[in-house]
Amino acid sequence: MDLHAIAFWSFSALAVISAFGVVFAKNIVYNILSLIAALIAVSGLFFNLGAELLGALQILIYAVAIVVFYVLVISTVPEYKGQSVDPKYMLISIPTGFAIFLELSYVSIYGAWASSTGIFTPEVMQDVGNIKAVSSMLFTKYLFPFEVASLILLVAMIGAILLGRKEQVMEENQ
Amino acid sequence: MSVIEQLVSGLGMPNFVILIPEIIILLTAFTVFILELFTKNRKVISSISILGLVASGGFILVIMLGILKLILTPITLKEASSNPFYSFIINNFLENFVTLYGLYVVDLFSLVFKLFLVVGTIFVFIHLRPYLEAKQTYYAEFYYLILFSLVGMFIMVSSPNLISFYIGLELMSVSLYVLIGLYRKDYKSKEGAYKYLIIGGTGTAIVSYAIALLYGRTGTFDFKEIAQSIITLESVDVGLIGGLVLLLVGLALKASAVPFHHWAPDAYQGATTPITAFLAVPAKIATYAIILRIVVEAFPSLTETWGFAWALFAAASMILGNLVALRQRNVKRMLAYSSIAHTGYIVAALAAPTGMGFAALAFYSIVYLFMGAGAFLLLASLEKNKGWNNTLDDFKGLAKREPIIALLMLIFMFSLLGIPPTVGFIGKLGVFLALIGYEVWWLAVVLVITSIVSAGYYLKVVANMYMYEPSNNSKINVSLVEKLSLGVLAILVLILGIYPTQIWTLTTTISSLLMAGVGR
Repeated sequence: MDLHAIAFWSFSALAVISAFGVVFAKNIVYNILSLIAALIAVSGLFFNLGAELLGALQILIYAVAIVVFYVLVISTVPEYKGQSVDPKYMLISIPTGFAIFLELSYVSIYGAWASSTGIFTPEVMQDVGNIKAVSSMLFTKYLFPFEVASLILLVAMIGAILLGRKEQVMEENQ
Repeated sequence: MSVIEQLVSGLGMPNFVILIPEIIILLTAFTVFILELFTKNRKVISSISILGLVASGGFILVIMLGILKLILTPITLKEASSNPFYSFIINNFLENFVTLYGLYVVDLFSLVFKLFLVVGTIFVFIHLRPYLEAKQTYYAEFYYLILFSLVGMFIMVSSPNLISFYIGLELMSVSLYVLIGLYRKDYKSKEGAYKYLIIGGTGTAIVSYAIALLYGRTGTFDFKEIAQSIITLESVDVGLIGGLVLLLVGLALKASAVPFHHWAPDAYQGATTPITAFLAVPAKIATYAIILRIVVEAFPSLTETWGFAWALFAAASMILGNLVALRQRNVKRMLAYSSIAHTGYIVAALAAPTGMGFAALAFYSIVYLFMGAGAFLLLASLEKNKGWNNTLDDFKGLAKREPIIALLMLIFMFSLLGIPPTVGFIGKLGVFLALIGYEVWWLAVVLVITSIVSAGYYLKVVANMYMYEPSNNSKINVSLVEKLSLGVLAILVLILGIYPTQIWTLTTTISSLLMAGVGR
């Protein structure tokens, strides 16, 4: 058993165990803690596959930024509001979620996926690395979507400020 | 030379000339954005927004007419290139019309849709300021958020690529979520915005998953390359089906087709009425345009399957939208369901994947602009009056209180219903003939029957206006500008109903160009 296989199985086991913790732990803080563990384990899987950029982004965005948001929400929302109110929805949601999971895994396993084409062959990737490859595409061919994404963020920010601020009564004498 | 150096050195300067309309609109948006900090003069802000739109729309119109002239009349290239205007068009719009490294295409199809999107937005802007002031819910943010949303629609209609389509969809939707929620101290508006945010967010997630599957299957984002990669395939496999189904669901959700329509009535009712018009007309038209472009460019070998899926959505939307609209007491909510039904009428044309069907789709979605925007904006004008709640009872005796407005409402209602001298009839006739021509009898029958059912609620409004005595005789204030703009819309509805040849030629041209792959 080589080191890659050992890393794969241990990270996978960690991810699955932590995922159970996310779903079944009673205390909401334990849920979040298990979530962090699961996300870090998944990022370990990415590193193991040689996708170092994806692994780093997984840690930066999910394990740090998103989880910080969750913690903020937990600390501001009263605890009784975080408790599940209507377990009867579980009767629908759990089978539906499971069906979607089955469908996704079926599609992922049995789909005829295209092999990688284009200029970034495995040899080139060995040479330049993930980060350089992704950024060279992002800042050349895909520059336009990248720039428009900044506009979307601007709109979202304006919207958050507008909808979140306290409504003051307007003076109507113009 | 390394691979990255090759990649970078292979890139030239993108052609920015064809992006002038988008650039004008963005500049207008940012001008309003900054100006709003310094001036409280609302007329200045709204006139600058309208001016920007007129400039952009005028540019598009001139270019469009030039292209049409070059395509439809036999001018030799030598003759044309001696004329500076024609050589400008040939250089920019007939030869280098794919820009930003293959992620943006400005062909005749996108130009036509952009022109009508701009026209619809201008009408929304004309009615926006009086409404907001009457309702004491003025935010200058309305103006630039609408403009940002319009840029998103522009990106959508001229995307040759799944990535630019997705980013345009996202820009449009995110602006719309905010716009719906901007009704001061109104709970329903926040509720509608929240519902749209959750369901629309799910929709964009579904679309992004569909894009991931399609990319995984074909190895490319580009519509044309997707088409080639599918044609070379012998059998359709599960990855492709998964991607297609998810893409269909996501697009149906954005077009508010039944059974993915649940956000629409609440969002339409909760939003300020000019925004409802914006949501119901330009946003929908952009969605129909991209649905058409995706089927023609990305899945030409699967038009039958795609058309059948949309036929199911269309039948469900027509039946459910019209039946539920019958039971509404609130006219705004009724029109929201009517807009769902119109989604059904319009996408029904996809069941006949022929040039006729695509032309009918483009035609109906363009003319829906005039009647849909007219009906919603008329409600906006009436709603400014105190005590007007848009209920059917409010319309009782409107003909005696305000005969002109009642007449305009009559025209819009007849057009939405599809009665001959109006353009709604021509739109439905086009879809019907396309369906008959492709022998999709069942859908044509559903279309006719549901149209007859829809008379039940459109005519109820008309009957309430003309056959009852007014319950109160308080004066209804509708300003002259609003009457004029509604009048223009109503006259367009009538003129195009009597003389639809121009627009019909236009849509036939763009659908045949799109199918031939010219302009790509």
